[in-house]
Amino acid sequence: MATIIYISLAFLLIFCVMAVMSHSLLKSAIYLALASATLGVILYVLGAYWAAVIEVSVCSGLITVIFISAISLSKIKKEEVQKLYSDKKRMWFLPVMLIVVGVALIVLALANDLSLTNTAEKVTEDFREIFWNTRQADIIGQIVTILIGGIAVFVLFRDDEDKK
Amino acid sequence: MNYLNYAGEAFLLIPLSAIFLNNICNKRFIEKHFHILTGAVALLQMIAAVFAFYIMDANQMLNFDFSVFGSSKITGIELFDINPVSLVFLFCIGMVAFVSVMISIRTIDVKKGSYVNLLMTLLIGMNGMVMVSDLFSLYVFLDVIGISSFVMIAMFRSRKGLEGSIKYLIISEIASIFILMGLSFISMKTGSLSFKDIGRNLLTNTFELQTILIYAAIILMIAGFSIKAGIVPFHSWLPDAHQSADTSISVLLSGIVIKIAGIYGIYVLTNIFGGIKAYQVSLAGLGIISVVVGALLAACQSHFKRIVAYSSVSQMGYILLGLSTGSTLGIVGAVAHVFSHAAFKSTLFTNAAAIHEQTGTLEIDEMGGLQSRMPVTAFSSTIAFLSTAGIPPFAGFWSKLLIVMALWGSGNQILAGFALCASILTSAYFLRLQKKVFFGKTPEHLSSVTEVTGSIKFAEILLTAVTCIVGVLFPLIIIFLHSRGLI
Amino acid sequence: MNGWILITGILIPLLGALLLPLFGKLSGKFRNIMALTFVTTAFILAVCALTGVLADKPFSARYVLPLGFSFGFLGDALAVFLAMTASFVSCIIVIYSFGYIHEYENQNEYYMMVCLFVGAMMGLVYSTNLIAIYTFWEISSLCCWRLIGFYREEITIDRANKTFIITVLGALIMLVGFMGIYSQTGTFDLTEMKGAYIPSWCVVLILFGILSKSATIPLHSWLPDAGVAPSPVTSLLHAAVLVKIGVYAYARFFVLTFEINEAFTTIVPVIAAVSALYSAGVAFRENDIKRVLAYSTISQLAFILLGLSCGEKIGIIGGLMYIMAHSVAKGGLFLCAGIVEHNIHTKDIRKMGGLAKTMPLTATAFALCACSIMGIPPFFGFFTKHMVIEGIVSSGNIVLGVLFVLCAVMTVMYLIRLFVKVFFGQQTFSEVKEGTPIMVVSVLILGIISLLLGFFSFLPSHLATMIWGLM
Repeated sequence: MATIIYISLAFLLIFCVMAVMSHSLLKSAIYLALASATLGVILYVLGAYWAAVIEVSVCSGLITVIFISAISLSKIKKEEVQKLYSDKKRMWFLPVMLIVVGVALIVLALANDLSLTNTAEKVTEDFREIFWNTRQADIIGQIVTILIGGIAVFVLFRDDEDKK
Repeated sequence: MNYLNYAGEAFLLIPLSAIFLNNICNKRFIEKHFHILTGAVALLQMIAAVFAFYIMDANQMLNFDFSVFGSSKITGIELFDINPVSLVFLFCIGMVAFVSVMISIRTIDVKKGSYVNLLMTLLIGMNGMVMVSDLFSLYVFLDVIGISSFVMIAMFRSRKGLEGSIKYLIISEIASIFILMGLSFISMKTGSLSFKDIGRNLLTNTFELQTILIYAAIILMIAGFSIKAGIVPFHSWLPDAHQSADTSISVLLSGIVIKIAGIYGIYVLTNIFGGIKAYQVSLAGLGIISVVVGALLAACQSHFKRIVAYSSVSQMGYILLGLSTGSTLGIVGAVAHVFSHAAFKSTLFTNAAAIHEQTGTLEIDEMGGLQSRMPVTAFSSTIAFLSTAGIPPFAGFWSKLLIVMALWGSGNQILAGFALCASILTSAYFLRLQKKVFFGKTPEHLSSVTEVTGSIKFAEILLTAVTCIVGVLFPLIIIFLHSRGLI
Repeated sequence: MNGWILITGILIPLLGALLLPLFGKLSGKFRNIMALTFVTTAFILAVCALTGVLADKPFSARYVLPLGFSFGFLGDALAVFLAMTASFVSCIIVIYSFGYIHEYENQNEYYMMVCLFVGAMMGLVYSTNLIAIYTFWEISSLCCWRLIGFYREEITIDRANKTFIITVLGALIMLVGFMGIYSQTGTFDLTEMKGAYIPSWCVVLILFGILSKSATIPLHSWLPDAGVAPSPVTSLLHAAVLVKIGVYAYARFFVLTFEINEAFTTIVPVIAAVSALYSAGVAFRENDIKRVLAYSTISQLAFILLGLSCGEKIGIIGGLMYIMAHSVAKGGLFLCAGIVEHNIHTKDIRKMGGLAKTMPLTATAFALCACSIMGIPPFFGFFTKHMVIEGIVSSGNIVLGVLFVLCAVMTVMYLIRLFVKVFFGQQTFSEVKEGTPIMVVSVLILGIISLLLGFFSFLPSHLATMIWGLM
């Protein structure tokens, strides 16, 4: 089980780095989806079944669909954007160093056979119980965060009447 | 008790209902009357905080737990908790929000509805953060604060605004990641993140890997909260974020957000880890470096708001010094400094707004001799400067004195003396600011400038009065605290 | 708790100062009269407090606060002595200001700061709490900053900032010394700490504050530079009142209240000697009338510090009385310099000459005050200087006594040089008139009082002996 977690972590690292570094918006969105899927695998193996399901369905599925439809519907000339960025120099060594360090840590962990505390076993209550009652403060926070998201989209991306 | 319940819920629900009201009302109506709505919310918050403090004090309660929507009847666990320290923070939040509304009446011309929405969500975030009793909820509300301040900075979509806000967002997210990592390490030991469950015995009964993880958690969380508070060497985002945002938002950022997001977090950490010697030493070190470097960097700036931003960095260092002592006097001094800093920093930003409104520029090299043309602004900025520099009898002197006394009493005499003498650096850069802006000869293009009128002038006078009155009456506050056995 | 006289004496100028800008909006004359009223009230109340001292029951008030912050006011002999001197000279200076300032801008700010300064001075001498003393100390620094920067020229602002930074830095270092005392005794209250021994490092830190405020080497450079201020300001701050704060603090802390290491009775006189000689030497070379007088102030302050620190009864009494003599006389000298500068519009003595013919009254007043400073009998300054030197000699330090006599000789020489260059010799400006009546009357009053105090010198010496009795 530990092996699966470490390999998934390696893949997570690679997908995230490629999502940040790629020039094409579409490819970035797909790498993000793959990264979320890997994260879902890790969550499932660690025993957080509900979290894994929500992660895969919402992040990998729903969010990626929204990203891809937004990118397709937008009127940016994708070739021009890509040319703008392909002219800039890349610092290859930074992500390469990150990947090398990550892989090295994972190999080290596999070699030393580190054990993991499995905190999921300590959870005895039902998920819904925790979600709605014990952690209600977080729910309030999350609702407000979603609210801010909506406001932010409205403020940052809507054209003003003055501009017309 | 019922009143405290209502007060506690009100801190979260009133801003929420204000958002609701804002969005269902007619847009024209909001454009004309937005300040009444937001001003009323801020005032209600201040009044509720004062009354709750009075009730808690009269009943000799040290804290009060409550939940929203009455869910505690089901599980028996309370989710929020107010104590006198959080009430002081809540009062400061209300005060700075009120000042921001006063400034926004004059400086914000478009998108007033969005300003109201964002200010209300920021209020919910800050109120929630000081009221929760669980580290993970703290993190959630910290994120709320981060996102709403990021959107507020970027609100007007100017080039500089977007740049400043992206910088702020990325650095703030890094801070949040550090805090989250620290949280997870702590939860590996205790399994729960509630303040009651963590307690002060984190480092007992641990084996080696867990001790390393706990120390790693302390370092990560200090780093994360220091980034949020703008402590050197994590301060680089602060001047850019302040300069590029509209002044009514800079006032919020410097006046309260860095204190709630950063300093309150470190206060929570002090409650958990305060007894560890290494923790105290690291906080003291960060504090004194911030004091000196912030002041030195402020001395070479040429933009009014940048000078004030670096001054915030310097004052945050003093608050850290107060928290590093581990004694009650130090915490009292730190909280007092939070309040006096909120007062004088808001005054300085109000002056910046006034100058910007009347002269159209904030570069101090282009200004001069404004004292004869804008006497009220000049007077309030002088009082704010004296309070910042720790000149008696203003409020800033007393809070600095308490911090220095706490430092001295906990054995750090040389550090205390050095921190006291570093106040001269504050005087130095403010003297430069005063000379360039208010005294000296008036240049040609500013000869027709007049005093600012309306809500900004009112805010300046109000804040100056607060600084003076709290300073002169501070001995009464000391008598009060002594009678409650705190110092 | 009969300290109402003291508290009123502090609050009336302090709070009245805040009302002066409002009065100024109504009418300039009303504001001027009210300013004079506030300062005169402080003087009258100080005289009332004197009655308490003479009856051996000084007025006092005390409020107990936690954490050792207890503060109170005590009108004992030293406090009343300084209060009377300071408020009297301030009254004369305010009267002089009516004639000097009325053609400049920012008069509201000027009168507010002068009145606030007098209030701060009253508060400082009457307070018995270290934090209260520090508070009034800093308020006086603030007033000093605003008053020196009165003309809004770039150079005056720079000089004002320099003064602020030097005096505030000295005060901050002194506050660190206060913290040291607090950690030792657990309180800030002077009446509780009477006779306590404080370690030498605290004394050194407090000396920083005293030296910076009383312009002693090496923290003296702000005083000559502050000559860019208006003349009544220079007179008030740098001759009569502000610089006396430092030596008052020395008397209050190290003569009357604390016990300190014996070595300081040698170290402080040495510092004073260096300061006196150096500044006397520089006074010879200066050509700006106010700078000469400023260096003379530094030199005379060194005399006062010498008297207070030598540890002998006669020296201490001499030092205290010299405070009074110097305030009156040097205040008068600066005001005369102000009349000259006001009418000629230059401060360079090389350009002046022969003014005794056109300004005879000013010249007389200048001569009277200068004789007091020079120490010529029967002026008051002679008696006091004599006592100071007798004190240092009888404490065993012959060398320092000789140095100070040398310094006294130099004082005579440079003051005569100044007088001759300005008032005698070839007349360079011929259409210069005498100063306005108000200004001339003020300086004449000060000059005549210097002479009268010499005749009636038993009165202040009686008071000074009472101060000695407080030790």
